[in-house]
Amino acid sequence: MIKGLKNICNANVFEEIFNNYAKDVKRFIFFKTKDTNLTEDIVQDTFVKLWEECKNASYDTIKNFLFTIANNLFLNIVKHNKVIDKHQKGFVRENSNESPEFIFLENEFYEKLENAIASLSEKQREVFLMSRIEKKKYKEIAAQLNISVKAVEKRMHAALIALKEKIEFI
Amino acid sequence: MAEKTTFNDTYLAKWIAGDITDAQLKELVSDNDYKAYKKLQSGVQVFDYLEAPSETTLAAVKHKIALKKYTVKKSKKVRPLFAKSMIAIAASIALFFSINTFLKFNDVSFESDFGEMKTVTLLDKSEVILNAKSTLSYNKKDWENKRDVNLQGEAYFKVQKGSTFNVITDNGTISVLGTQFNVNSQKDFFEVICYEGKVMVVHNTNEYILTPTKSVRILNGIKTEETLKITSKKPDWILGESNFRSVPLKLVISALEKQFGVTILGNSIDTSIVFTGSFDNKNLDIALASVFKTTNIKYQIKNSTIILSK
Repeated sequence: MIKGLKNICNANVFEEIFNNYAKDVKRFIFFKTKDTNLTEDIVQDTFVKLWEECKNASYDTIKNFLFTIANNLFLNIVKHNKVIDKHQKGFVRENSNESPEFIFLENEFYEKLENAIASLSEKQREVFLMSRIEKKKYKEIAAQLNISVKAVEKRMHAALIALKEKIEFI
Repeated sequence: MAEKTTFNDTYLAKWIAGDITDAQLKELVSDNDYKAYKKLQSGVQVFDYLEAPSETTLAAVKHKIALKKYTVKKSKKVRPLFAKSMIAIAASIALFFSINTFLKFNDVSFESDFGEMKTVTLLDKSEVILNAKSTLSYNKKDWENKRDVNLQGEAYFKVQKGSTFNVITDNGTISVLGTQFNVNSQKDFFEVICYEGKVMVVHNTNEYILTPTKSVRILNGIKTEETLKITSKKPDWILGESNFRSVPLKLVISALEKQFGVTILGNSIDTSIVFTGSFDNKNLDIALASVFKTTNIKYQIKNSTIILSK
């Protein structure tokens, strides 16, 4: 039998799949759970499961396969929590790991934000991403771009105004 | 005046970086805009989180697969006597080897027992002292490329200068270049104290940089950063004393169990009360007295079980 060129049981292919899809799975689950810890667990277990099932998975439909595993893991946890709630009635469970700001954030708003970030001007986006994703200080960004700190701050300020307006407008 | 104009076109940058507070921002913009910026801020936080690199997740996935490897090995012991078993054995051997090549099969692990303190010298002459009931493991083959160790429990590290040294725990990852620090990683509790040099702690998506005497602690998901009054370069437990600084009693109980290899029972006791103090690691009677006398809890010793009551 001719197998696909991409054998998922191969460690390199497995890592490639992880690098290509981990973020998608993370995002998919995050908007279901709104809980970073739970999301992390489910993402990890999804890929562990993929490794175990690597012989049954096909490279061409891998994204669907991953999302199905992740969704099942999520549903199992929901089911499990319902059982726990039933047995611990009256007992208030506080989940302090869940940041309150996250709860109100909808997928829809997030998509708008992503579009807004994509439509920032090149200069604004560069500063925005360096600051927020690469976690660089304004001073470091200034040194790297060879502009003043004030100029970096101005771009960031303008980027935030642009984002707010774009989100309201979209 | 000129200064005010420049501040006018940078204050949002200062606010998102945490240089000016929410209250100050509220003064500068309308109520609606303030709400919009707060929502934008939480959106940006989610963006940070979702776009953050997933190397630690991949490491955790590999770690979990490695743990499962042992269950694969175990299950081979009970093999059914069916004709299909040959295929099953062949398949599991194939899986076993592929996992081995994947994980390079070179895991070295050290475990300290109840009440035991264990000193481990790593390949680069870095020194690790494990507190009671703690586990340290690393991959011998990968060591040349990356200095990564896995830790469960508590340990004090004295790291030789060199490439980045990572301590991976269930609670987060600690990265250093060469320094001295203490890590305590338990269920629901995570604390890192820096004694020398600079230590970076990553917990979920948050990063903390610690300099000497600084500590970060995550208790039930709540973070506190503190500057400690410490003069020694080593934690107290190395000198035979377990020290606690406002932690829930259940952590102290778990530490007693680990130090003395006893079981402590106390369903009627509120173990979430906060305890500050220490106990001696050598003498169980003195240790029990110093913890429970001060918290007004009665205790009975029956063999290696201690029963608590109000």
